[in-house]
Amino acid sequence: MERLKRKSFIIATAVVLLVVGFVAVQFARPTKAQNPRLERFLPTNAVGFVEVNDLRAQALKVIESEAWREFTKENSTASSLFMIGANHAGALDASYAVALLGVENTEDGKPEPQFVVVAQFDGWEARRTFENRVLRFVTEGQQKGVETKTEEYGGVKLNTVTKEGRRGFAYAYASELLVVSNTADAVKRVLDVRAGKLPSLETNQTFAKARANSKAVDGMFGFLDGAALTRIIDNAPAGANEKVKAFQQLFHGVGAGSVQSVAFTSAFEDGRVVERFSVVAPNREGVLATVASNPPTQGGLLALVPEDAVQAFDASVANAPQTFDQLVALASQLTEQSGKKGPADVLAEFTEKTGVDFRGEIVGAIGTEFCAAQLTAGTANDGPSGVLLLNLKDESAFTHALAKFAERKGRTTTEREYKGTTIRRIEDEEKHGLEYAFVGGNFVASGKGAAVERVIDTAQGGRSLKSGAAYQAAAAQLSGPAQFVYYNSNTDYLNRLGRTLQGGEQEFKTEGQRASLRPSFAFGMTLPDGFYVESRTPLGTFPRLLTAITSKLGNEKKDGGAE
Amino acid sequence: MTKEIVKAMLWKEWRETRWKWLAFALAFHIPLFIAGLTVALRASARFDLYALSDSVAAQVLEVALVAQSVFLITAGLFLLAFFAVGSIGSELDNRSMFFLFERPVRRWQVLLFKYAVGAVQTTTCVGLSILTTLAATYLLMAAAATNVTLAGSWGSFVLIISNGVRGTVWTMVIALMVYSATFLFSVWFEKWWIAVIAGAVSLVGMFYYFGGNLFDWIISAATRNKSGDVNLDLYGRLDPVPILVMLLVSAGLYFASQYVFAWKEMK
Repeated sequence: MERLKRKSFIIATAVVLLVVGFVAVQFARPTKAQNPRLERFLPTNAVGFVEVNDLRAQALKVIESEAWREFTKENSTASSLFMIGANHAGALDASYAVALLGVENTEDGKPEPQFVVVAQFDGWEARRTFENRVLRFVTEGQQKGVETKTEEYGGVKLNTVTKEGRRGFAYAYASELLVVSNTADAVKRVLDVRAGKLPSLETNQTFAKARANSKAVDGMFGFLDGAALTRIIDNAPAGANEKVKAFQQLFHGVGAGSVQSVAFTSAFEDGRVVERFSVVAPNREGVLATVASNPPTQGGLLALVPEDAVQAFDASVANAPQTFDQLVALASQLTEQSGKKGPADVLAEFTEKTGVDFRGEIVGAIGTEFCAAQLTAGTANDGPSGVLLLNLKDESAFTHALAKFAERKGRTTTEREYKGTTIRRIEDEEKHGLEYAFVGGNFVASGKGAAVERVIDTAQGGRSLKSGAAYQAAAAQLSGPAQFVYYNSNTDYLNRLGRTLQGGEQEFKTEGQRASLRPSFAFGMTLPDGFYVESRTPLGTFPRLLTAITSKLGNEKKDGGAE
Repeated sequence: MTKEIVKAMLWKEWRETRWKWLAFALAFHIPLFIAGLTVALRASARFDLYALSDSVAAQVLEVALVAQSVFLITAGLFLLAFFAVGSIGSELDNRSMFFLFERPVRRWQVLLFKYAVGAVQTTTCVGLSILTTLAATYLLMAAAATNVTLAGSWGSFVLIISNGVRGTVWTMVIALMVYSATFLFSVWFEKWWIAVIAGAVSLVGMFYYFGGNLFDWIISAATRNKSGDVNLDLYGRLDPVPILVMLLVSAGLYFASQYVFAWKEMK
């Protein structure tokens, strides 16, 4: 006890507690980049923005992800050095947002979109690092005809960079915030929002609703204000400009004007990336309304795809004829005004050349479902093959159309039998061809006959993708009847990831890597107030984001010779 | 001299120096503490740690081996001189040495025990610090880095630590020589600060004349023209001639200490 009363012991204990406390605070305190809410700095009437929250945290989640662990087993050194390279590129200690604030007229009266990049850094040091490494070219370019004009705006230095008299871009720093834009006016608007002179996007009710409905708060977040976009397009000074008028018609014709908002989130969940798109459009119009009224896919064609398929996309096409008609009508309307050849002329030409009525015999024969799949290689010498499956309303009309097409084009058609099913081959003079068969009222076609045979095998009792455990597990995330589903077994994911990351300093394997990753799955569905798309993939868009950072900024660093 | 006296002498020396020894043992891990603090306080350093994989972990261990070796044959030797300088001088200064002379032990035996315990303590401090630094680095990586696995990196760890043993041998021999020299100064000069100055001057002299050799023996061959890589095969290659010479110098310095101690006039 006496020992504990010693002065030195008390001092030592206090020092240790202080050090532990300091370290604990360092770990526990969220950095500015971790809690950015960059919408605070965007004006309330901003058209849209995409935000990446705390890039370092995202990169750490990539490291911990299932896919990166597997990838690291195959590319041990390269994957580590790639991440370390990204870390030292000087851009990870921040959150970023790219926004479209609107369209304003320039001094000579031309409309110009106002884009702005807002970066919130962890602190002064991170901002300085970014400035040194990424914006260094501004100072280095001083000798190459680049001029920087600086003015004071709201207590912040606003820099406008011009090259040989032409306007380049403008940027300003406000503490740990960096604002870069193609116009000085946009930077000023952001600075005004920061200073509380203008209301922020947070006060926009459409945005608040979209933010509240987004299931994830970290990772990436994107928002598009449909009403603001429509306003910009409608207010575009068309005058005698036919192209502007045509675009305005097209915009409303496809129903884009009825979209209230679009929200996008991307976040890590359970070691993989979940991306969600929500389109709010309760009063849908035009093509959008027709697509929305499409009944959900039954996934019947997936029961014909072999279980070991690499990937498959299945969608409902029940409203294909109506959608086709609407698009043709819209295109006719636009081409009429311009006096150019319209879709009716194009279709007539097609009929003349092939003898096939595209609308009546092809589009009109389409049933309710479409599926495209990539099958695994049949043999060691063979590569993966694609196969197309189309549910038909009128098999004989479709067969007739194909026969006419082959005849008019002078293609050779041959037939063979496979397990009681006729497989036809349409071949050109160079021996390139298409093999097809009708399986249970569905058109099955592929460049490789073996792929058609495998579909026939599946139809005759082989194990199908739909009944497979992997697909069932992946499809368990389906929260209702879907308009489309996409499945990828990810057997080739590591090779694709290697190819995505290729091109920098590190060498990654792009062939021969196999890993048992969970399959990717995506689906889209119509909701009473719009559309919803969700995907679960190993890494989402993050690898591309990190590649961009390491390759672009890393090269900047190397070329500049700094650091 | 009975077995009890030997035990008592050893126990006395150990008891007197154990906390000092522990403090020096910790001080010999200063590079590790610096690395630890950097990782704790800097997000980018933590990120680098998390991003490591099995193969890069091997490179980190190699860097740790070289860094610790460099520390030991530079700043570490000065630390060692501070440790050794208090062996005799402080006991002469505070006159506690005269208490020993009243015991049934001879003067040379007193010095022998002090030298032996001090030498064992310093050489283990120095030599083991390489192995403990490598082990701590390895455990930290295995615990923190998602893609560093015990199964995947164990082979690299064993390879590096077994090569590190050669560095241990070298640094222990060098440490023994420096300890012996400083021990002599400690016996020679009653005031500890004079012994510190003498030790520091002699170390500077040693670096001036043999510093290049120290680096050549242990580090340079493994790192020269390797573009930042480390060739473990060339790390600390054992050369019996300089090792024997240093051991002989250490023995000579010890006997010189005995000679000075035997003839030292103590009041």
